Amino acid sequence: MPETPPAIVLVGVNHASASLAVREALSLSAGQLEDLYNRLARTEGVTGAVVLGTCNRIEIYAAVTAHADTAMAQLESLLSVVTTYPVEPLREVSYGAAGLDALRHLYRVAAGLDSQMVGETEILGQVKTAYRQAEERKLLNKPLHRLFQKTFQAAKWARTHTGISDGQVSIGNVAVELAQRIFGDLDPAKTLVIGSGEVGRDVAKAFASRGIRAMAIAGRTAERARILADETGGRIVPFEEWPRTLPHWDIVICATSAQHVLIGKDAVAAAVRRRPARPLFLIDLAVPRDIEAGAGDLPNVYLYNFADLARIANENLHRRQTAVEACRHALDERAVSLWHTIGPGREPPPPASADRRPLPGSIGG
Amino acid sequence: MEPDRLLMLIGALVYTCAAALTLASLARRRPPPHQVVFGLVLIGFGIQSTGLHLRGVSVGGCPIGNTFEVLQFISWSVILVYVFTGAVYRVTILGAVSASLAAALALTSAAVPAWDATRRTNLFGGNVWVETHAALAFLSYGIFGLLAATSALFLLQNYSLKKKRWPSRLRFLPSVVQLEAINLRLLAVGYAVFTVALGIAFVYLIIHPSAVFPTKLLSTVFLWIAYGVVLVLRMRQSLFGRRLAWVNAVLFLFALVTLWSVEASRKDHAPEPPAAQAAPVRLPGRS
Repeated sequence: MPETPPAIVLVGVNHASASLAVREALSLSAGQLEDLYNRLARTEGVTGAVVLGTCNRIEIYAAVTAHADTAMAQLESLLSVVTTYPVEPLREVSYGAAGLDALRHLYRVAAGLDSQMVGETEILGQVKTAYRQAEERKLLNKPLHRLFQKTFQAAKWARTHTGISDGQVSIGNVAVELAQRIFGDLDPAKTLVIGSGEVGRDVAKAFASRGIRAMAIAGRTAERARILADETGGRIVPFEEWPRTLPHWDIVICATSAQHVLIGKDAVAAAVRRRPARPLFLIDLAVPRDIEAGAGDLPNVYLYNFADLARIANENLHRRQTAVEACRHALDERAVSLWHTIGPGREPPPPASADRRPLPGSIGG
Repeated sequence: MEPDRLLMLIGALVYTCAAALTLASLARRRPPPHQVVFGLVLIGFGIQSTGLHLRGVSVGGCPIGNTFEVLQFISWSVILVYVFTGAVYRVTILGAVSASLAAALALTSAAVPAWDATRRTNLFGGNVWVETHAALAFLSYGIFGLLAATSALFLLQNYSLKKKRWPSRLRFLPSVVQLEAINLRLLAVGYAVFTVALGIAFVYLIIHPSAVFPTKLLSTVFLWIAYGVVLVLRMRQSLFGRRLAWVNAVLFLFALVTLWSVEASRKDHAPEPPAAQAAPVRLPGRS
């Protein structure tokens, strides 16, 4: 009698199924990940496993020879033991799937459809890292290897052929994308942040994360300015001195709570005259505005306020949401197609028990 | 249809495919497939080069003897510049822009069959200096053509950023700073090539003043001065950005119009080619 090929099962928790506190408790340190892999390798009936751990999810994909429900219970127990999180509360927030449902879920995760920020691209790198870690520990058997390789192809296809990653959807990233359309490489762009309000901080951090080397913070509240400077690797410019330095900067982010205009059109014109061929990108996140609206009419000056950035972010988000359904449908078709090739002639996998928590977003349906 | 003309038109169609592929990608908000576009441009360039070579063999010199040939040669020059400089700029969209411009010029050249009805053989009478002057002059026109196209890209990017329109469609365009840098380089290189071409013509003019059309002389010198002034103003940062882009586009249109008028006046005057003159033309330094 031929040996039954292993089934693929999945157990996990993510941002949709568990609170941040639970996810923090279940997050795996390097030592715990090693421990989990060692235990998976020793578990009877588990012929291969990949552990995907990100800030928003922990999932175990395993090739098993046991019944799906039994295997899923085993995986939950292992996760509970390794993280010392009680198994019963874990089962309340975990989800599981087997066979085609698990495959569909992995496709959606890798493509960013299951991410908190739909369409984000970082997740694919994290899935690839998980794949490599399993490979290094020789826990990547043939079905899992094939499954993940096909997943990478499907995720890449989704990014290239659908609009799920189109445009930025956060104010900070929208501002960064606009800056890239003006300056191209942002490394040499000199950036001044005036004020240290919450939105300004987010935008400043988005710029800092893109490798801007010369950033300065000018804030009325010295302590908040210092904190933001520490977070962004910037330096402090005394608040009373920044107007004198205006011609020096390529990007100026304003986010103060001032009740009057801080940068008038004349001041911008004077600054531009001293660096005529170099563009100036002004980002006004303050309400009421910090920068006189007419400054945007000057040549080589690009002025965006909070409403402009929000409108672009919302348009991008709307476009992504429209693309998500089409992408989900296309990925499902690919998953079914793969399932027919890796499990032809086999009985469909036993469905997860009725009392098992369904996959978030009723993916399993 | 003769093989040379057919090949040049096929080349233009391949350029059109490259441009259309890029436009389709941008319309779908996808990054243009750089390698495919570059491959198509190379294929089109090879086909067009073969066509021009065949024409050159049949007319006994650089094929710039009628309007069809001139436009084809400028189109070819645009792609030549892109093939040798495109990689330096690392700007994906430049290939599509070059292909679009080359296709537009090449297809325009074929739009009026009369432009290719008369062919002048042995146009330069075997004078390599005159031929070099003409080839370099049209090469510089090609560079200025590419400059006009990248200037149009600048205007599009600038308009989109200023008016806050089409942010997602135009995010694959080169940045404003990149386009400024590209435009300055193209302006400098084009002007240098143009200057060399005119330098050769100037020496030739001293020896054979009657061999040059006044219309051509005036319009070419005007163009040389105009591009020179633009370059100096740009270097002094007195002309840049949107105004510079408009000036580049208008100057190239002027160059095309003067080219057409020169061609027309040449037909009216029906000049004798230098070879028909009593003595062979010799330029200083020529062995």
